[in-house]
Amino acid sequence: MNATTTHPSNTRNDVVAGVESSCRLPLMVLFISALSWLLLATVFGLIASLKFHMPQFLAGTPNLTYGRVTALQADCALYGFGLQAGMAFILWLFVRLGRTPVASSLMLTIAASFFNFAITLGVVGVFCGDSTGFQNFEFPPYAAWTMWISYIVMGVIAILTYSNRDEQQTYPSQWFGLTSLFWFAWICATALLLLLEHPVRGVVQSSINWWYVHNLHTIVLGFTGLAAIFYFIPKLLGRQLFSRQLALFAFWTLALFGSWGAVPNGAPLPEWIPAMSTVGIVLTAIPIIAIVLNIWQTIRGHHERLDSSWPLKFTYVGLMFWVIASVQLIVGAVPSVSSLTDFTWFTVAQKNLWVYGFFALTMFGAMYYALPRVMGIEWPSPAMIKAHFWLTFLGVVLSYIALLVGGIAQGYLLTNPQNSFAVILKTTLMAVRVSTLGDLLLVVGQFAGLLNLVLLAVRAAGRELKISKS
Amino acid sequence: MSQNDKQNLRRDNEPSAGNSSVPMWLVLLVGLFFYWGAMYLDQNAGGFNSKVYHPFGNYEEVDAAQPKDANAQLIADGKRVFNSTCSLCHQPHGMGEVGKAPPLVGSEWVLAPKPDRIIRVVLDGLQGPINVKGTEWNLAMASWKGTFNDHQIAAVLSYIRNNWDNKAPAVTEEQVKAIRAKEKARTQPWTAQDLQPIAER
Ligand code: HEC
Repeated sequence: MNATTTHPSNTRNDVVAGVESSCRLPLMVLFISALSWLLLATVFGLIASLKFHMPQFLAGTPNLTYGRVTALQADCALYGFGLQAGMAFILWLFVRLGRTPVASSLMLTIAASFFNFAITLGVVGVFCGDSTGFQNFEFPPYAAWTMWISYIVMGVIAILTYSNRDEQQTYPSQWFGLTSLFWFAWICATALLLLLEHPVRGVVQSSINWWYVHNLHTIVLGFTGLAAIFYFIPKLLGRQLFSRQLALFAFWTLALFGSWGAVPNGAPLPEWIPAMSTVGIVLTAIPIIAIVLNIWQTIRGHHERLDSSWPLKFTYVGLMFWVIASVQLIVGAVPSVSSLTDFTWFTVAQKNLWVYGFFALTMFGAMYYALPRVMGIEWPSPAMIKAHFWLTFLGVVLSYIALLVGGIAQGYLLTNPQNSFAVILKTTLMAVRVSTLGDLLLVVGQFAGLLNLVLLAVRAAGRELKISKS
Repeated sequence: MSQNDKQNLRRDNEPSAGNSSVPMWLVLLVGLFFYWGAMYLDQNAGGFNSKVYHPFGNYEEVDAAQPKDANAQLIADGKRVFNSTCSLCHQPHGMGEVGKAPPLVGSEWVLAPKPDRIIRVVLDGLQGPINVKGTEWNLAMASWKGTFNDHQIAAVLSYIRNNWDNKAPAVTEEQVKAIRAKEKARTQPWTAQDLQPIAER
């Protein structure tokens, strides 16, 4: 059924379908690209993890050295997947909660194509050794600029959609989504200017880099995932969100404190910088408590309904991963702990849990909920949704636990100067092997997810064809 | 569709947010965390001095760890002696105080090219009338020879000769040692008059 042919009616489904069908094309493009980049990211992750205990693996290809592969893994996951899935969800959220069509579906699709072109350019650039050398910001300038500009265009369309909204009363998810858009535009511009265009000197570069990476995770991806959590948990439980004020409180405290932590305690910077950073991270305990309290009060008495649908399950598990990863960040920021865990697998475990556990799961939940409604088509294979969930879940948990334990062990061993570095690396091999298994599950899971999505797209295309013929 | 219908639609289908306020204990907790944060920064931020890097806790530690030329080290040691003892009477600003002690800043005694008189003053004390910067004082200062060793006396004298606006050659440990030996027999504090025969240049 093509929504433009339906008559305006009073039933909710038709109204919603009418506005939501406006984002069919951009949503499809964004989600398919996002999941493809994620699949690629997990493949790179698997290669990197294999290389760690099988150094001879792909050793002859300079394009696939460990350094390049890990960089590509992070970049594909953060930009290719993270920003695009986030954009798709935020856009859909604005359309749905604002009850207004996308400001410009065509422009958005064009911008999304440019965005993907930019990511491709960046990946090829890094692949060929043109990396900038900044962690999680490896794309060469030409790719990074193209990416930033096309993101801005998409962001402007999303913001226009938001301000066109028919429903004036806003819902917390909208604040989180909107902030995430602005935040990325800001931090990426800062990094582009201060790291690539007019590079600041010496160790200040590292602190800009740390600040950027931290904000990208905590605020840009974090707020997007939280927007999904705040929306889907009440929505799918059929409950009211416990408190708007508490959500607002969490919003401000997290935006405030979540943005200044980043600098490791051992960083070669004046003491006050890591000290401020630690305080900032520890203070995020406040928004964590506020959010957990808010959601817990919302769910209270309805726990049994939590696994009533896949989108809800994805979102809820995503929330749990968010809590664990956030708490780990706090613990790891305390000097007595960080002196053990900094620069070990411990921090890698935290970042992976954040991106592949918390963020990805909430975005999958959003996708599984939104796409059938936007497209008017059911998911081709429920079994594949299940596979996607369990493989991702197990993959994340397995590699998380392995790297967490491995990281702590590594940290303890490193404190003793008697231990040779090579020997320490060898003792963590077991953990890395287990995490490789997790990475493998993750690849298979992402494959299932993407396949289901492509099948949905094929069905949708088939239907469009039929309609245009008749 | 009327505005009212739309409102209902929203209420029926999309989540709304309740009106419970932020619990008081959470606000208190924020205060507690802020308190902790302030304490933490107080102890770990190195006084927000951009010269303090890990593993140093504050600027004094950094400064102490810097290699110094012998003179700077002597003066730094002297500062400690002065702050703990002499500043009680001569005041931290070195300007002295009526009824307590004469000034050291700009004092012709302190700034004499040869420190032979003030070494004696500090070793054995001083009493009776003395003219400092045109003002007559008539008080008494105890002897410090039992309290400080040669190095400390050389240090504190070098410090007062080179702090504030004072500028005069440092005093060496050897100079103090020689005079201590020479005046070993002395049991009484010096008077300005006793000091007259001691050469100042
Ligand atoms: C208990 C108070 C007191 C303390 C402590 C003290 N002084 Fe004095 N100082 C005096 C007084 C009083 C005089 C003047 C005595 C007089 O009137 O004959 C004086 C005089 C002097 C003078 C010569 C006069 C001048 O102002 O130039 C010097 C030099 C001096 N003190 C140095 C020191 C040093 C160095 C110390 C620390 C080791 C010290 N004093 C600690 C009370 C003190």
